[in-house]
Amino acid sequence: MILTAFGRLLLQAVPVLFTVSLIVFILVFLAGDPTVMMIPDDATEADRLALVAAWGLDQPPHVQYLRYMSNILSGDFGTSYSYGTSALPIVLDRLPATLLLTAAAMVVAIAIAVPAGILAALNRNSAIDLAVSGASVLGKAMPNFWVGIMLILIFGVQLRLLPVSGSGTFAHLILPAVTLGTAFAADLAKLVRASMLETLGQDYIRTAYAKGIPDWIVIGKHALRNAAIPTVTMTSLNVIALLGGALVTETVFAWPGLGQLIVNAIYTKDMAVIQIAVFVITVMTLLVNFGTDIVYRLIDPRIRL
Amino acid sequence: MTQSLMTDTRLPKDTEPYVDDAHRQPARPLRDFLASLLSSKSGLVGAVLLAAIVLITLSADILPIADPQKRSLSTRYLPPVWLERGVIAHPLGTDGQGRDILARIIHGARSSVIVGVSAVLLSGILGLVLGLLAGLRGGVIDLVLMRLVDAILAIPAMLFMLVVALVVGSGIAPLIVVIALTNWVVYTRIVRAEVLRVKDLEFVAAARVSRVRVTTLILRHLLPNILPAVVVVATLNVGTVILTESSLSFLGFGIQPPQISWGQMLADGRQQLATSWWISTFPGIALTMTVFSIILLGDWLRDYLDPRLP
Amino acid sequence: MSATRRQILKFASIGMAASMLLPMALTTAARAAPRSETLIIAQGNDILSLDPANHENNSTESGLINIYDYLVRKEFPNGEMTFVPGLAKSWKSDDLITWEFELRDDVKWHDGTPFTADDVKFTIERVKADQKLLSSAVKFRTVEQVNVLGPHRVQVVTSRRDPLLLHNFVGNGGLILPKHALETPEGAEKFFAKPIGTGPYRFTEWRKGDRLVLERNPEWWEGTPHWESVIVRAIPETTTRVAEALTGGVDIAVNIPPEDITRVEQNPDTGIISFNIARNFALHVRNEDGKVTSDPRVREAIDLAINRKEIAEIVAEGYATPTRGLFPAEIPGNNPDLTAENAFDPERARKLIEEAGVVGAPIKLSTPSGRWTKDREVSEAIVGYLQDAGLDAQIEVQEWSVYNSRRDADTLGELYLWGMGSYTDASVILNLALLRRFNPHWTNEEFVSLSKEIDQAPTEEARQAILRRAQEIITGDRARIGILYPKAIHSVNNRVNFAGRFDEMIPAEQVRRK
Repeated sequence: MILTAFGRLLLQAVPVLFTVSLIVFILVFLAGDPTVMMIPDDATEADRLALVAAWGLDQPPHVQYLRYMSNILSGDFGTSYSYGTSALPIVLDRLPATLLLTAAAMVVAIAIAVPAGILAALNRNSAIDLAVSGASVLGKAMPNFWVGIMLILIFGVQLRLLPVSGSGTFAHLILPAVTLGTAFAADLAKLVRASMLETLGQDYIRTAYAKGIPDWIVIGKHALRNAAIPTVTMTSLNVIALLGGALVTETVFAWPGLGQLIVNAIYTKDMAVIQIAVFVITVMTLLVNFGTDIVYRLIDPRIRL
Repeated sequence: MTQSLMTDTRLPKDTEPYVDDAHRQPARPLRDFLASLLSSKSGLVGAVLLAAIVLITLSADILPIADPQKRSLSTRYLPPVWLERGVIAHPLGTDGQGRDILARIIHGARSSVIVGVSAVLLSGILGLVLGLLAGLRGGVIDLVLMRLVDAILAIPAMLFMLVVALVVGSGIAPLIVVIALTNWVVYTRIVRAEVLRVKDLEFVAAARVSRVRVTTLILRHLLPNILPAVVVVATLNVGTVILTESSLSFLGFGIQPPQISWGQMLADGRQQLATSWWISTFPGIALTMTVFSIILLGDWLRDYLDPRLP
Repeated sequence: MSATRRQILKFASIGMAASMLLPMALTTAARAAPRSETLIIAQGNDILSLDPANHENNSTESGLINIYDYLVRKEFPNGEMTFVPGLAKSWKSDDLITWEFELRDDVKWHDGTPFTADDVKFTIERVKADQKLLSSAVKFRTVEQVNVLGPHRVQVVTSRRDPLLLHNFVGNGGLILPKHALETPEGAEKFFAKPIGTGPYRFTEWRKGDRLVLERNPEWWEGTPHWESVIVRAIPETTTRVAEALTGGVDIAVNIPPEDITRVEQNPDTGIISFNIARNFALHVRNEDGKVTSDPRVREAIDLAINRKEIAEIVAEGYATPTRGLFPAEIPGNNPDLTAENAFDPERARKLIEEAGVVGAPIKLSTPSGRWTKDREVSEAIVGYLQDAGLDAQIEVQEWSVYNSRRDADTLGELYLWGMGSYTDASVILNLALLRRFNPHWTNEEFVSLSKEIDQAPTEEARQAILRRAQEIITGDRARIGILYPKAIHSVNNRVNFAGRFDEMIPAEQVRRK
């Protein structure tokens, strides 16, 4: 069963990865010659052309692409223009920090959404309900970088409770994770609320209510189980969006992850790094989809893969 | 960012048998619509807020506000009117070049609305055409298009937009292109899935005698069915686009002067947040309120139209 | 039902385990020096490479000078550039063609191997040989031969008289590398994973995109280094960098925006330093036919219309020097006559625009945003002055990489703002190939002949006279219109002393605890 799913993953992955690499190659190629900004102000055109030739950028695009692809097949993922070393380790070095941030942001989103959703459901259509959904939507409606800077000013500069930027300790993780996580709490809270309402509407719960002894553990468990499959789906979809949001958040907090690397690579048209980074993210997306399928199966054995 | 909109698109399908939406139209659509809106607190809040914002935007030229581009050295960094040093001529204060914040917010709303609406329209049209093409033609076209869609969906939207922006540059028109080139995939998916479903319906199959009639038939049954989904996605999409513009501004690829946008004001003013908070806080509030009301309205629309998102 | 409960429990326990592991995973790099013994510097960009010859980035160089050493160093006492000994004790050249360097004999690499003349020869030849190295384009171009005369004596022979040779030994690509450690089968990539130098600090760790961590080299040839540990951090977002400075997270934070100066000064723990740097803002002007700026009167009007003093005072909050020139006073060969005195004449500017018959003509000024401090704001102010002069001036802002592509494709506006910098001598102005990169349509007979004369200048005096004349021509014809010399503005914590350097380097050894 898992093998079938794995086979399907491969079947899906190869064409997607191929298309992604082609699209990125075309776009970055169209963006123009990266050497223009690599060379110092006092270098001449001849110097630049020497660099162009050294990097093989004087070749026609299809030749460049074919060479690039054949290098990949032989395990050479290209050299970064700005770092001057192999692109693959540069990208892989940054991966753990981004995974950590993404996971922490997911935890924050869940930590906000579950209580908020339950609270809203228990006080359906009341002011509390409106306030809770309003607040969670507000998190989604604010630009990420703005939230990040506000948090820095409040918790870093004014209250001096948390480190402003960088990485290294658990405290460093909090502000970026909150910045990234709040944007995703809204959708999740809505789901939890709906599941909770459905659970509360069921006969035996109503009976329990009538007896005056609602079993909160039972209610919570049911509601969360109802919410489980949509939550997993949403999480898997959000991972891509989280990685996108990481571009901005990591820049604000000087978080040494993939997002910051990609932003810089785009600024410098660092083809090899952009390619590998997009490649890695695409693989992650596909793996998440794969993982989602497996988790479905675990949650609900009726679903066949 | 865009993908988060699609959050619901892969939710488990409702188990109830499918009823053609075209045959489920209420008898008095407008009255039902309004009644439903009035009974939904959040939908109503969204609609009212949004209406107010659009109204202010449209009347930017007749409102008694300052010239948003007018620089003045003597009025730099003026705080809002209710603070010390604040003046009535600049109710929300001025920025580092002495320009009126209120006027810039009102004029900036235009760029945000123009970009939001045009980008969504453009991606909607692109998505509709390509989705129809893929669904109706099938074969190689379908295969190629869908691989493209899969690929673009696998890349974070913000990342893809930045790479496109490298090619087309920044400004209002390039930004619309950037966003449309990223967003069309969502609509293509919806349209294509619906085409494929309608194609299999019996009466379509029966009508396969003439090719032209099949296409017309599909179109006639298709549009009412996909419209609710498209409307919901598009509404929420406008909000996402406005947010996206601000993130792109932060990264240097947003709308650039002399055009004004909220994202740009927010990104430029962020450095003065600690010293002259009003420069970026007010545009931030305007932006947040707009996106907020769009989400509320969109969520309500989703409940009301109850589209079957493929 | 029980299966589901088990699943939920399983999920919960995985989640708890993960959240407990997170902090542990995060605190692996613990054994750090105490904060009081550690110098933390916050720069705007990441260190790009540990290879001194393979980056074109001031921040990177500023980090690397702590690991490696130069043969000679540059210092700027009283605003004048002088060379002082580094790894070379002394040097001499009678004909500016053959140069002899006497090297120190008490220097050891971080692995204990002695430093010799072979390392110098290796470093120079490496840069010259490998065209993929970014410094290869500009470093040691005139060097023809490097001869090892003894273990600590080296001779450099240039292809022609080169009065500027010493500049090659300072700045990107000039830091000396160990031959014995690089010439191994594993090659450069292995070496630069954990490089060694002769400098005051040893490489400990480079977390890309985050920090470079260095530790004291107690055996440094110039004595025991001042700090136990040095951390060079990359914080691209200015607001964040300022916040780190205010909260004491870093000791020195570079490039503070003018509007935050008061905040940094009012904060009890921090102060501002500002100093001249090797950079100038200039408008580059199109003069080819078909452009409104092909008329010299229009170009002159633009020159006259700009109130440079106001820009320096208001936009740069006083942290810039208004000028018509292209090189600050510290740069040899700069033209001191090109000042902003009497340069602003709006009346005459308007008159010239009228005479040329271009009142209301559209003109576009292209500018980057955020590349150099207040670049876009300066451009916006200029556009305002041009509008006052009667032109329909508009600004066009492009992101830096797009901006560069447009410049290369020659599709920027009639005017574009450029903040050239990191030069060491005014002679760059006479490099015609370089001129074509920045002013592709402008030429001038005298200018071209000056560019041929410069290499033959008999004395330094004569050489500088040629350079001054060249600046006079190019600014006189308004192919380039000088605007201002920006100053660097850094935040410095009160526990340390640092004055700032014209070359924007921050050598940890020059930052001292109070």
